[in-house]
Amino acid sequence: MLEIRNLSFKYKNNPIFKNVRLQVKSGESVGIVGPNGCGKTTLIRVISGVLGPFKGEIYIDDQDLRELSVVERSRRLSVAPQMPEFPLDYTVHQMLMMARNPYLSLFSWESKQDFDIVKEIVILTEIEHLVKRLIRNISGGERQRVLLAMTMIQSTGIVLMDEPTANFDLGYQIGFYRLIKLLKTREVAVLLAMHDLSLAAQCCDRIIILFKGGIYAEGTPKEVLTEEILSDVYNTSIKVMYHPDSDSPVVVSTDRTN
Amino acid sequence: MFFVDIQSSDMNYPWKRICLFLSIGFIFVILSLGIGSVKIHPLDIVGILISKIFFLTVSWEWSTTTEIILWEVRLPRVLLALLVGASLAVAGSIYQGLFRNPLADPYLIGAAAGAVLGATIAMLIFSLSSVVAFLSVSFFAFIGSLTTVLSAYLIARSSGGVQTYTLILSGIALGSFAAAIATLIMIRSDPDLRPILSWTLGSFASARWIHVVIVGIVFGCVLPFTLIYSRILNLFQLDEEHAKQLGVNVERSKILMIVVATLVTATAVSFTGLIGFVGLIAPHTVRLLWGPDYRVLIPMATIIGGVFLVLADLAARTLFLPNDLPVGILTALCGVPFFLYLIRQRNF
Repeated sequence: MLEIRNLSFKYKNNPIFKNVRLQVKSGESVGIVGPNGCGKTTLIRVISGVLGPFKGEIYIDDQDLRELSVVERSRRLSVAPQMPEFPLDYTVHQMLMMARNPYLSLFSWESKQDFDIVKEIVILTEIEHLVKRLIRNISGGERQRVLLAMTMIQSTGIVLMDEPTANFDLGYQIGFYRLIKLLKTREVAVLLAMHDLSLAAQCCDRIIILFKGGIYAEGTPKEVLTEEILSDVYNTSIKVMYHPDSDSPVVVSTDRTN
Repeated sequence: MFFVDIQSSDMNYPWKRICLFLSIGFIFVILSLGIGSVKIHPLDIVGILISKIFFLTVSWEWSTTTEIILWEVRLPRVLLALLVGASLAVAGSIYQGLFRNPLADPYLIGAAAGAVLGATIAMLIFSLSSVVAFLSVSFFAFIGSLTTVLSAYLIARSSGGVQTYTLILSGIALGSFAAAIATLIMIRSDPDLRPILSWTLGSFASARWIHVVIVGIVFGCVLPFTLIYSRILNLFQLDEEHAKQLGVNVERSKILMIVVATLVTATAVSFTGLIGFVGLIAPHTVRLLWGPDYRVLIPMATIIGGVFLVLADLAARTLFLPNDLPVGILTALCGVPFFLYLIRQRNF
């Protein structure tokens, strides 16, 4: 479980957000949305412990983030960062194995068990065809899938994802819903930063709109993704429709001059 | 193109390959001991080594001159070349992994020249008579080397732009600066120190047992450490934040590895002078043949670097007899085409 109380963060005296509170329970998926530059990525980075110092409290399974060592943190919380640098000359399998690092001491190498876990996740996330290829030779969307698989291989109770669907084509979006569902059945708390509202509506139990340095709205996708709220936040006129099968909100922007 | 088999290559340590290359290296070392202005039969070499090291007598005989040439001149020289080559290969591998920079060679990022400057200053202060003096030379070389490497790294980090090139550019600039000051000090100083001028292109001509012992001890301490950290070096190839999120103590590992790589560079260089490109040739040869995994790269690059420098030194002392060329000329002749090839190969 992830709990954040009164979190404030300044970057070079520039306040990014103030007094953010949020909670992600085990088996729940929460989406953070908002306009560009609202601080979604910064929030993810602060929670993951690579950006600091911050004001307020971040609790990971009732433990203060600041009291956890780097290794302890990596056993509880994993992150799929947004557009990281990749080790281009390594194979996908070699990169996936790196996600077992939290459980290895300096003196040990991956055991049979670690190999089995990687194999299991590779099959679950349907990336068998990628494992032997070099990172250099796979596409942006495929690299994104490798990152998502790594968060599962890391076997943590909390998973943070920053723009996890940025490079996905329509076909793989289905695969992504399945992945989120899988994480939820494994009692993982999932926090996603996304800019695609319709997609967020489909894969999140709750949605938080980050706007003007704070939480602007919070609730189920249907409660939050309304034409009124979104037109305010994005400063443009927005149409919300509902998907005929799932009834989840589908958000489209319309040009006011038309 | 290298397809790594999931089942075998990631888990098994390449013991067979390491043993094979170690024995090939051993043969090269024995053979290069025999070649020179005075030829020594391989059988005599083995005999002298057995009698000197294990105090056993063998049935065949050799002259005392042969024994002195081998034991006092050639053996320390070849062993020093082996150790320095291995040291520079390890240092190059670490720098490349640490800075995520395929061009980071101890010579190119200024570590070697910084060491030479430090060592020159030490020689001005202490007279080279005792073991303490030799150790202080190594220590000053280490401080000089660390200063240059850290400066080059900080300049590259603050300048923005393509760090691959800014690190090398600032390393070369700082290195030239350090080498210039070192040369100035030598010219202005005691004529006894003049021979060190050959430092600008390293040489093993003045190798002695004390050098072998000091470089050997430092290398012997550094190698196990590097082997242990080789898995972490793989994680360093990820984004730095990503590595942190995967439980790597990035800052601590970085400091440790910079210190270790610089220590091994400084010790190697302080007795031999500037030898470039070994730290580039050895690791990249391994990458081309067996891929980037540091757990394979470190041991294999060590062996290849050591043997390469033994052979380069063999060429340096035998190609133009009776002249003894600085070995740095030969490593540069091999290394620069390699460097250009690396620049052409990829877009950094």
